[in-house]
Amino acid sequence: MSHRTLIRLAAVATAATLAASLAACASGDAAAGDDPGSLGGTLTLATSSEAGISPLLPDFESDTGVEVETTFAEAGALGEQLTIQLNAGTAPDLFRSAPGRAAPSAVLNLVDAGKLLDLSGQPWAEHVPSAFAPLQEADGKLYAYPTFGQAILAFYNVAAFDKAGVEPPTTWSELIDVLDALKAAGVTPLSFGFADNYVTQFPTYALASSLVNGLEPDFYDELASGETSFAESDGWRETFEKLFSLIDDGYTNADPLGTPGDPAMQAVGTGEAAIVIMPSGAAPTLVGFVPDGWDGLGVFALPATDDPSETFIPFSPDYLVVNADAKNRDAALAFLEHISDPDRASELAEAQGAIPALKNATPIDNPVNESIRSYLQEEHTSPFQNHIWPGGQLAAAMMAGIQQVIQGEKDVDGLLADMDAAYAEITG
Amino acid sequence: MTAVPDTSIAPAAADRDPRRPRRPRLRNGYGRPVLELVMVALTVVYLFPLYILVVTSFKRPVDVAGNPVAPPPDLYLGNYETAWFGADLGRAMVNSVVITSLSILGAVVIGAMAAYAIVRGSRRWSTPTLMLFLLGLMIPAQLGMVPLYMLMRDLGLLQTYWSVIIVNTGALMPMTVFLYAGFLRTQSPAYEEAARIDGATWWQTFWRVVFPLLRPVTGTVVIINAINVWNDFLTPLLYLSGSSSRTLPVAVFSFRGEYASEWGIIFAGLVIAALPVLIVYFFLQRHIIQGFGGGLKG
Amino acid sequence: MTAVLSRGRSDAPVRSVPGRPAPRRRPTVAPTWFLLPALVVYALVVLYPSLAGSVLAFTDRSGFDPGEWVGLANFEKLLRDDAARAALTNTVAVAVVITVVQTTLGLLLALALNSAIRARNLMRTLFFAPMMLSPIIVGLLWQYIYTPGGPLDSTLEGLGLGFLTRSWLGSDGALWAIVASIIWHHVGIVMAIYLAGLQSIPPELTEAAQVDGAGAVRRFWYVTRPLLGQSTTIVIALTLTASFKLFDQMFVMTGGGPGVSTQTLSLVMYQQAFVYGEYGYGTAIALVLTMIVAAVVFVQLSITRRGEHQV
Repeated sequence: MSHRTLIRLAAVATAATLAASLAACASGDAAAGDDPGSLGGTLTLATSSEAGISPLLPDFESDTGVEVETTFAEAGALGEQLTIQLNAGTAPDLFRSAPGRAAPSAVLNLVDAGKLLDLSGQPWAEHVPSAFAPLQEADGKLYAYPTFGQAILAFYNVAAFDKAGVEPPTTWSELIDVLDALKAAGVTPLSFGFADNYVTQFPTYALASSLVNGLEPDFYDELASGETSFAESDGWRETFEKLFSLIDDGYTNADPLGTPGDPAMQAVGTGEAAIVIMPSGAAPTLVGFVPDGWDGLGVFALPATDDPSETFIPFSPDYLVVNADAKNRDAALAFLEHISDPDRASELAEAQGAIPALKNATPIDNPVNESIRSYLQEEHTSPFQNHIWPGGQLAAAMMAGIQQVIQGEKDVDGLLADMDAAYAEITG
Repeated sequence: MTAVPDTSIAPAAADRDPRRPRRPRLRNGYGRPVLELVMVALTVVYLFPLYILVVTSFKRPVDVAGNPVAPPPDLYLGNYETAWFGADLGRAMVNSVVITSLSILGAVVIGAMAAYAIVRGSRRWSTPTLMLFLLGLMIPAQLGMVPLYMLMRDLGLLQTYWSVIIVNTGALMPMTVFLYAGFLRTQSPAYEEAARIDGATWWQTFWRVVFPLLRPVTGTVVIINAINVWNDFLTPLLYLSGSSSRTLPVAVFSFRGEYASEWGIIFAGLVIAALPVLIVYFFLQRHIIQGFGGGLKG
Repeated sequence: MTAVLSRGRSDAPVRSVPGRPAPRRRPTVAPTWFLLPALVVYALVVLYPSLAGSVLAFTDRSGFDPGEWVGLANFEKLLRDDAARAALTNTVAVAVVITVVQTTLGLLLALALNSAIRARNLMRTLFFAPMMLSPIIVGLLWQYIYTPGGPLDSTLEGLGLGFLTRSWLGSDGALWAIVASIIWHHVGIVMAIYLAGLQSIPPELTEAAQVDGAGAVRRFWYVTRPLLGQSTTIVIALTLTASFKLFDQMFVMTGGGPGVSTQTLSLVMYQQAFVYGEYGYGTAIALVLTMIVAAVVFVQLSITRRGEHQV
């Protein structure tokens, strides 16, 4: 029985011991690093999921003598907690951060506040894809370690496609043909779980990646300089018109606004519906719903135009960042170096149902990774739109607006105007 | 007001008290079979959500995707296994028990004393003080969240059980004082006065005479506060970050992903998390419901 | 609560009981220091942080920027904010509906379970049991129950009531679907309070009325109902304070959607402060919410108290 376990038992037994022992816990771990040549001490780490991270800890702890104290919580709650801790100067050494400015605790907001350590000189820095630069760099310095990438993809039930005799489409017209064939075969073509408002983002970003980032590559620069707006962007208008046409033309489940995200995936699992558009991180859950597992599930990039070479996919990283005031900075940097090993980076991504983010990571052979390999190589990817946006209000305005258009309370013009208003409010 | 002269008797006993024949009064007679039928039907409807909770926790993901109302095809325990071992729920349960019991112990001891001072103390201060405590029922917790966290940091209590216990005890004060004060108002001061005349100190009087009389409402205070503390998510997450001391709700909700939830596993975790409170409740139910009235009326 | 608040009033609703002195006179005064521990902890955990937090409402603090004093600008913004106004309307509507429906249902349950029907103890337990679950659990569970083709729909169809199925969370009715789940969650406590109230009514009173030939409805209205006045006061005060602050259920089930149809003030406050990092504005909303609840509850207490005195 370890020293710490004993302490914990004592803590349960009497309140007095509790106070003393916890004080000891807080300060007494430094003794662990007696072994010469190792780092030692305690590393505090907070991230949104233990999948992939936990298996990497024992090796690191035995190699370095560092004891890792972890906190795992759902991204929203974690961000809330981290914001308060950063304000109070009590944040962990190493923690998860969202790309760009998607939340108060996202990378670039933390950089502005001087909360993050510059990671430019780290041995793994050269393997970070340049496409991520706008989400993690400021003044040419790198501030975040990309743990893995998430792509937004169309997942389909193979049996349903076989029943309708269709193949994954590569253009918008082919997509419509496929949806028609599925409908004729008695299958709900598309499963939208829009009762969870964040799910409205996924098909939208999948279309916008091609229609905005692909066809209007200067849109965000012009938006920032005030030369254009969401309302003036053909790409955004087409994105929403195509999204709503899928619902209006009867290609989706009857009640997208009443269906939460998980049941929408279950419907594809049972074959009741054929296609669901989700981030790759949802894949492990989705596969669980399919009786044949991965044999019954296929993946393709959602086309938005009639030229297959114009298809872009949303691809954003998830980050670990180092606290500028880290108590154990060396251990934090050593941990990032540890997990940047090509095999480990790949293991972590696979456990998350994700795509390795570092360029030198060992390739993973599974349907998700195979389906997007060519897009990554051609750099036909864009970040999730909300990661490029200057604040969370814009995504909130879009999610509420999409639901209102579906309810018939707004039209596309109103939705675009709402987004422009939110943008003006954040930047103004 | 009160119509229960013998409040010193434990409620469970009071229910069976031969001096208070209840059966005859309740035999109102007409419509009983109809009422019984209606109530049975209503109970079945009312239990439906709990049935769904339990049934889903025994299903594989593939079965969850199937008929939602059907019972699971077999007794699949994988979700419970994953929740229990994957989230280390055993340890989390110990943490929850420690935090909940110490928080409530603190609230009961100081809350009962405060209510006593309010009800039997200086007349001038009693109403303003009670109002001050009641105000706490109306303040949203988020208002003081950041300054409170800074305070705990400055006191050096972060990442200790003590921070959560102190925060809980303080947050429970309004409800605790409210319940104790309401109950005390209905009690005659005769016993305490006798004790005082016999030469007991205030401290002795309170703990030997008054506090035992508060037993019915103490049951209410304990159960209401226990529900709140046991289920609290944000306070332990904020003050105890570090998995070795996380509580049950924090552990269970670590299965909620950013883009998808594992329903079966979460529901299994929820059943495990709810079981201890439910078991306590089932054994104490009569006590609790009675205590409620004792505490709330008046 | 009423009796506590009306201390010292000569018309306090105290019905004397034989053999027991009415607590009007106070020959001894308990020491004030008994108050101290509770007051210190309460001030430390609730009063001081809330006051310190309230100051932020008059600044434009956001993210990691400490912000500057902006006076009442946040409150002016609140008046112009359509989303916040919609949230205020929802909050008030929800509080009123929950209070009325939950109180009525809880009273009916209590009356039914106070009669001599079989298994009434078991039923009391079962109706109180959901109280033991956390609001987040209940939110997740009901989100799943309301899924199209989910547990509720398939049950309705199985009973031949398929025409009742609808988009539970996907229409403007979503707010009331959530309200139903909240009432399911909390009706047990109302039942428990009324049960306690009913059990404290001397059986002689209703029996006397029965001898006088009063029917069940008349007995309830003229004998039982007036004696439940204080229970009602407590039920309504507790329900109002809880329903004005509702957060978890909306947060879990719809996140305020579809559109803004299930937004409440607590949710808007949370989003402003923790999703957008606008602490100043978020705090201003919290402050307004606190004042509304305090005002409503104190008005309610004075009205219901007057009602009780007519007895």
